[in-house]
Amino acid sequence: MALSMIEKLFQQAKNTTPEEIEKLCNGILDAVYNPDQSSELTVQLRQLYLVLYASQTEPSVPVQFIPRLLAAVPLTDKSRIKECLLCRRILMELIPFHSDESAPQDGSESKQTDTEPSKLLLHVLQGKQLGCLSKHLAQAVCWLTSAGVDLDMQRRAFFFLVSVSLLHSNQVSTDQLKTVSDQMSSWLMNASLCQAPVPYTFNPFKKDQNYPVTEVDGNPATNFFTVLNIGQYYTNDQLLNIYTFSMLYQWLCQACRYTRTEKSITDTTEGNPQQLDKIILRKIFDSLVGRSIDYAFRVLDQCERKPKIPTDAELQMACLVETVNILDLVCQLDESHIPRVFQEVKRMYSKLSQDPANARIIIHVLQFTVNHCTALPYDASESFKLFFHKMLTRSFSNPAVAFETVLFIRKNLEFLCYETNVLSAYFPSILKILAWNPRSFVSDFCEIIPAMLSPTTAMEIFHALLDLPCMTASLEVIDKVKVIDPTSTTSPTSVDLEPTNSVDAFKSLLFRPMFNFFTRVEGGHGDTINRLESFHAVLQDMANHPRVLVCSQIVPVLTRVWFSVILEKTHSEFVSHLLPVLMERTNLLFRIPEFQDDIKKIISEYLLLLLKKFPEVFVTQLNEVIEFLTGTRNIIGKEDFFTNLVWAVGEYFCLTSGESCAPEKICQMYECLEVLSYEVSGITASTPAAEAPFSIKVVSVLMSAIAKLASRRQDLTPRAILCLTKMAQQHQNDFLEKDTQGILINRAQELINLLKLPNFASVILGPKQQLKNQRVHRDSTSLAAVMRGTHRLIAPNT
Amino acid sequence: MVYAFIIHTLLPGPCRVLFYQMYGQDDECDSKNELQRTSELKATRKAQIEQVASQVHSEYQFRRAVANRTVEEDIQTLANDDTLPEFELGFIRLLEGEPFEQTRIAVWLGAGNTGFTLVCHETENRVLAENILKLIIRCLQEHVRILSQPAETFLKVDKVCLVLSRFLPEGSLLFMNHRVIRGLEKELETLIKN
Repeated sequence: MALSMIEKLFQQAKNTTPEEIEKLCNGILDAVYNPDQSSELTVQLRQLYLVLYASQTEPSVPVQFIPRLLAAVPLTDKSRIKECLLCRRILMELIPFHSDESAPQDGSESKQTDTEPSKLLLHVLQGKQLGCLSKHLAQAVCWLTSAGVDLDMQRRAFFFLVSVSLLHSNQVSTDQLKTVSDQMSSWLMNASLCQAPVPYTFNPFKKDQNYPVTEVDGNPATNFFTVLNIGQYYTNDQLLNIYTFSMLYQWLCQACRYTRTEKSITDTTEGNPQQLDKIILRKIFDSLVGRSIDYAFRVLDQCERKPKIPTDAELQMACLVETVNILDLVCQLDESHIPRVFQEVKRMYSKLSQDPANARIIIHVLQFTVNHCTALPYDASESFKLFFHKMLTRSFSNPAVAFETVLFIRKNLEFLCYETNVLSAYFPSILKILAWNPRSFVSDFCEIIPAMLSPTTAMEIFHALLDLPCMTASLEVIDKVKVIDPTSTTSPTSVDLEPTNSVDAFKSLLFRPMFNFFTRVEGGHGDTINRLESFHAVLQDMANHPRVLVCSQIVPVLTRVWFSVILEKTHSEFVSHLLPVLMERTNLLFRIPEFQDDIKKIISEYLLLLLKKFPEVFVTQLNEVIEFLTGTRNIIGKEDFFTNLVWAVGEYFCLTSGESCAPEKICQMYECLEVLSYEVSGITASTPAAEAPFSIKVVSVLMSAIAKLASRRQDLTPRAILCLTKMAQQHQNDFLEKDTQGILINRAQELINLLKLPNFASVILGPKQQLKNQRVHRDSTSLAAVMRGTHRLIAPNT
Repeated sequence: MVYAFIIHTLLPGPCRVLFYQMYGQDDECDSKNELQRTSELKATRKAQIEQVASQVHSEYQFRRAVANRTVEEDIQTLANDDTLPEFELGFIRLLEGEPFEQTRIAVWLGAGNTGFTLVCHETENRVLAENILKLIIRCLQEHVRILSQPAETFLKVDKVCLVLSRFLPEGSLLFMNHRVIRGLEKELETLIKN
């Protein structure tokens, strides 16, 4: 098969010896000046290219080979163009040269070849230092502006200038900027409106007829020439016009970058040269800016014509995007154009916004609006609504629209977050992009999600993130149904109450609202839904779908992002609402085992961090917590969460929450834990570890929590000691391994001993924060000192 | 402007770059001496291209996994009626330093076993890039049979260069209407025949 052949060819080429390479090079140099050996030359050049391309190490070619080949490259003979291109390609493979490598040593040819336009690209590839760019820039500007220079030369010089300006913005001087800009404005406006004569046939008897170019719809051209004018053949000035428009935006971008770098340099030295910059800049680009606007308006008009050839419709699309970008940039350079340009852009927007297929252009119009809305009395919310509500819903699965939207949001994150309601209102719609392309946009959404969060949306977004695999699955199902039967998406038909697969579920009256919920457009319609579990069940056949799987792998990353924002920014009231949600959601997840494990781990982890920061939540949510901790049913399936909660009760409950925590609340909590302890140890003590529904860790954590609570209320101490003693006794049986048994019994004994010394117990089991942190090893009340002392008292023999 | 054009294999197995053409060179670190810089540049340039290609490769893998079409079907379409298969289209944002010095955007099209990627400057028009990439692929298939015989890419590299020299001159994306394209196609035909 083709792929194995590729590997074989590469291997062969790799094994070429230096001697063979040398022979090949010599053969090439012999043949390059001999027109009769053209076919041999081609074969040899192809071979040399392959050898160089495949080589892993730096290829070794004879010393004089590069300069001599460089001398041969400028052959602009059209009949030998293939050889020229091959030579160029080989040189590119060897690039960058050291300066001594590329200089011809006999010196005779250097003057002529150095300024060859076909080599300008090679100089760009040499990079800033080696390419002697500033020298060639001057030459290129000269070619650009001189009369009678070959079109090909001018084109190469022009592209060279734009390319260097993009890559190394500080290389082009202001004078050069001005000269090139003036040349461009003349090319933009002064192209002829007549077609070029047919180049292939020459009829001396026929009088030359000048046919005018036409518009894309076939009508005669009405105004000056642009890229959207059709002719059978094009004259040089028309081609230059096309090149100029193609480079215009990137050249103008240069102006923006130029101001920025200049500013950063001058800002540090002098007072306020910003104004001065602007004046210089306006001078440089003034005529080009004016003509760009005229040209752009004309292109906008031409884009309204219906093209005769479908590929021209694609060109129109590209032209619209380009035009909006140019106009946007022009307004940034000179604000005085904004009102006039805005009228035109608005007119175009109102035409294009009717059709959702134009989403890709509309997003550029939105960028224009974002950049200039402060200068205009214009409310952009309607256009945001149109795009994020209507257009995105239809085209989130289009890779181009998805990419542009994400790019747009990232670029304008601050604006969208503080000046509009886009992120908080349409986040379900935006999340669809992520759900559909889970592989592509993870890092982008790690930045976007924090901006989406607000006190009103945070909770809904939390649910939406956890349910993201459901969203992906729903979108897949809807997509699938559309393919099978396009009519069935309109309204549910079946009354099947227990559909067995996801497609049937979509058709069922019972489940359709859930599909609608997960693919909703706007936020604010509630956070979660009833019967989520049964919805997970019907979507089970999608659990192995690659899109759903990948989506389930990215949710943990984003959930961490969500939690870290919440932990940093939120207040206890929100956490108070969040706690019951966590209790519920930790076991209510789409059924992909790895996904469930990951999310449970993250929730348990952040539970501790949140409760540590906001211990008062225990008091506000006391009943919820007690209800959750009553009985063993909540341990199964969420053991980590459960043990972490118990541990947090022991560690943080009523410790710092001060007055609001009345003694009876501690008693209430203690009683709950005590009952739970008896129940739990009843189960673990009577079941072999392998069959037990939960691990022995639960028992251990419960013991600690009980002791900690008791250390805060001395009247509970006797009960706690009794409880711990009983638990230890229960575990003295044959069901547990000796090691485990030992650990539990020792733990119980230690805690009992500690509780017998109430003053010590309260310090050790509930140390104040500063006791833990400060370097108080000299202080007799420090935790370390107390520990040492207590250890001597309760374990004097060790 | 386009910074690089890449042709590479897609599936199966590791990604192999069949052809690449650079159109620029970022500013490099000034502190190194010339000799060091040149040898390093060659190596990093290749590594950067490979990194972009393998990112496209892995995106394509995912697209294939979720699509209903297999690679074999694509190749079958080509063999049977010589029509171009439906291409997967994608965009990748290459952040500053990963792997290029400036932020760039890769526009890629892939079908069957072959992928085509344009690494564009951030300011480049991506609608136009997509149109021109399609055009280049059509010409490469017509003159080099690139989709069915990918090895031709490096065996007949002059033809690939010729196509690029017409439709991506010096790495610039041009606004070409159907007559401009037709003119270039005609020119290309005569040049390739010679």
